[in-house]
Amino acid sequence: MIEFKNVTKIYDNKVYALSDVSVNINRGEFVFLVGASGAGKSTFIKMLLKEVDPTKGKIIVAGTDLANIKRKNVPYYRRKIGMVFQDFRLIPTMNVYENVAFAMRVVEASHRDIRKRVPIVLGLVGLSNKYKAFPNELSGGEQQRVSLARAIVNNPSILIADEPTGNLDPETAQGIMELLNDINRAGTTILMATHAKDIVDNMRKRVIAIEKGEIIRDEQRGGYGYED
Amino acid sequence: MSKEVDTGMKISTTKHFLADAVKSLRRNRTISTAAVATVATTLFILGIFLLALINANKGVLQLQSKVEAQVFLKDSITIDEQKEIENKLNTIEGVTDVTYESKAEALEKVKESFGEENKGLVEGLEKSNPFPSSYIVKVSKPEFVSKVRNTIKDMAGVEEIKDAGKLIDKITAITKTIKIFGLALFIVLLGVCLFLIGNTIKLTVYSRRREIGIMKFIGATDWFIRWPFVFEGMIIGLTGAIIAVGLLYGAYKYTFTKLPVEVILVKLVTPSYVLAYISWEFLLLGMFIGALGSIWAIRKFLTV
Repeated sequence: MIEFKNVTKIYDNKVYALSDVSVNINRGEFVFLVGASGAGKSTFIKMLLKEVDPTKGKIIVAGTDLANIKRKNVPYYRRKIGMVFQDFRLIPTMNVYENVAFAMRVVEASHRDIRKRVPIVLGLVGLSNKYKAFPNELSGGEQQRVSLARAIVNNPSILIADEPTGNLDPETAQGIMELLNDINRAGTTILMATHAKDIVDNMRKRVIAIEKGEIIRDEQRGGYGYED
Repeated sequence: MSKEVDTGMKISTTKHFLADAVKSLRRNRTISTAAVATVATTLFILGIFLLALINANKGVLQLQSKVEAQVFLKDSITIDEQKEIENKLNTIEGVTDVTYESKAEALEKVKESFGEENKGLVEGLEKSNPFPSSYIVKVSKPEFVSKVRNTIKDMAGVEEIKDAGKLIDKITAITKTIKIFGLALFIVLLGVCLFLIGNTIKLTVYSRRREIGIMKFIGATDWFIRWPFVFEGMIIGLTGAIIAVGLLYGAYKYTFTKLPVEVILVKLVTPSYVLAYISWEFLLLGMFIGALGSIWAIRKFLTV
């Protein structure tokens, strides 16, 4: 599903963000991406979204070499990927329903499809009774659920979560992880960058550790492996 | 697939875009008003120049349509020389009419033009009438005037040839100046317009940059992101244009009715011309300026 072949990224200031990284993530996998801040996790994710291009090497996602995607077709490529962030990134002037519907409007879904699909997805994340609430009226966990709903509403084949539990208390974080697990079991490939040792150790999924731009560990059913 | 030409437009989404545009115009009321005022001023000034040009051109055309040359004859002219000139005039291409005006008739004309109260000035001139006899030569097109001049000027008995060429040249020169000056002013004002519209849109873009970021990672196309801002610019431009057309119509109508009849040498375009023709051009131009200003303003925010 996701394939990095000898990917190196050097930024303008001659910093090696990633050096010669090769990794293969299969369809339906759940992968944790761990490593200290500045280790290269963000660059890894940005390259997946084609926000930055590799200096050397190849990235192939769902059979497409990202180097071959023209600038104007990048939006269509990004629709295959759902994104969840630590800070939720909801639109404050829109209520829960509108925030999720907005993602469908962007891809120009019909009104009928939007009306049908949004309630289903909000049901999936457990927000069936909060349609009309605005983000500032919700708890962090609820906001993250909205952002998860928005990420999956267009049925992406890959879900990238960048520190999705970073702003949440352990109990709420656990709820989000269960949701991610459900989404994964439904067939979506999940890549989650995180610093949450407990979560990684509990889930026992594949762990890819990056340090100074290199993959230093890649193990199935792994643990966090750092003592913070 | 229509991916290639996809501009993110659909009837249902258009409604959202328009609503977004109106919302943010309300939010940035002050600068939006300034932008509208600039567009209105620019188009109003452009309109004044346009009307001046159209009227000047009309004047030239009307003058050209009744061009004639007057061939003045020497007092010492012989009958044979005069006959020869008349025959020659009638053979020149483009000449439609040749009328003889005797010395007496010329004097009569001058008397008439002086009117009753100034009659005394020309009295007593009958004895030594200073006015020459002449042929008034009408031609079908202005360019034939010079032909008449060139053919006749060296013939015996010809004193002088006069035509409206100089006046036409003068009006043409004035028209040219108006054109250049108007164009320069228009370009400067257009720049100001684009700048102010651009800045208005930038405010909106800035207040919504988070939303733009979200749209991008969701997979919105550039045009999907752009449209609400383009609409905003177009609304500014359109509003400015409507105000400009209204002002121009009012101002021209007022001027038109105040002009003394004698001053209107040529038939001027009527005020309704402003509504019938200039209005559409201005409305389109206003929307175009608005759209251009906003596209320019958001280009930076769309990279990546």
